[in-house]
Amino acid sequence: MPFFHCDVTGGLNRLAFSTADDPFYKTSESKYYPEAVVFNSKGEVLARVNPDTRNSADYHMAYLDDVRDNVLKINDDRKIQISFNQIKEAGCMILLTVKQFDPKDGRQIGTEGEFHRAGLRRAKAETNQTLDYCMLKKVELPEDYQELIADEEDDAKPAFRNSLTYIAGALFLDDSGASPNWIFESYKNVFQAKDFKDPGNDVVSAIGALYARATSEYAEQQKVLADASNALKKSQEEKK
Amino acid sequence: MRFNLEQREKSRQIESRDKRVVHFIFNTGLPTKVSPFARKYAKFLDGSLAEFEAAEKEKFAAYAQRLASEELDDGE
Repeated sequence: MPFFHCDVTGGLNRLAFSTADDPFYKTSESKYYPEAVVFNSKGEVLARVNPDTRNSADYHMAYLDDVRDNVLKINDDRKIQISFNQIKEAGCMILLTVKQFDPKDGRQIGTEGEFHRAGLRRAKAETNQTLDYCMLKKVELPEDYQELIADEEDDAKPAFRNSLTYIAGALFLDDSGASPNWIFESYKNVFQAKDFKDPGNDVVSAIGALYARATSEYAEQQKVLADASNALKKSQEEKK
Repeated sequence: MRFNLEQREKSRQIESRDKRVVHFIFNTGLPTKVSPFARKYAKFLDGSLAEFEAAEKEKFAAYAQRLASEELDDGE
């Protein structure tokens, strides 16, 4: 996993998480879009920002289309701006994903090879300085991946679109230190829709459940360790 | 005019030929921190999450037990 973990410091208050269908040209159609999902420490979804829900006033996020700018050298098509310094809910996580538009008529988007340079980017919103970048074609696809999966029982049924969800990374508000600080982790993995076909089961809810378990287990472990070391101190004092 | 220049100062920084602001140094030589979530997520990806969680639970219980009974080695 091309993983990295870093504290978000140095006056960084506003992030732009963006996608480009092609950084050099405007493509004939739009294929990829960014999505940000905010979870609380229980893994519940507090907010979700994407082309359908463009704003979250509570979590200071906004989705923007058509953001190319020649002067600032912004070669992205869509982005989500996150003013994370205004989010104060301890233990919350913002998951950054890239998804594909799903055409209603079941056709393939664009032409062959049109999206070979598609990428995702995380940048400082004020200056457009790139902090993390990845071309989507470099993210390893599952071995059995097929874009369209025909229905084996009924040929007349339209093929199932096995759309991809890229997990770019996550921002965490870590409150374990003296003062809360934001942490970013970069993952860059991909999940296919066919693995989450059951109703109520999707990538985001699976990750939310995983986050809830990780958070509660970690808190429980910290409590056990604190109790054990207190008991140890007490017994050492008694011995003296 | 002056106000406009000040307002555009941040965007001009990235066009500068001799000035760059670096926010992160990725290769510090120190071991990378990993969040509790990322450890689970890595195992979730390779399909060994259940085994990992069971092993972790067992290891932690043994560690807590040894901590309480003062059996830990130095630096452990």
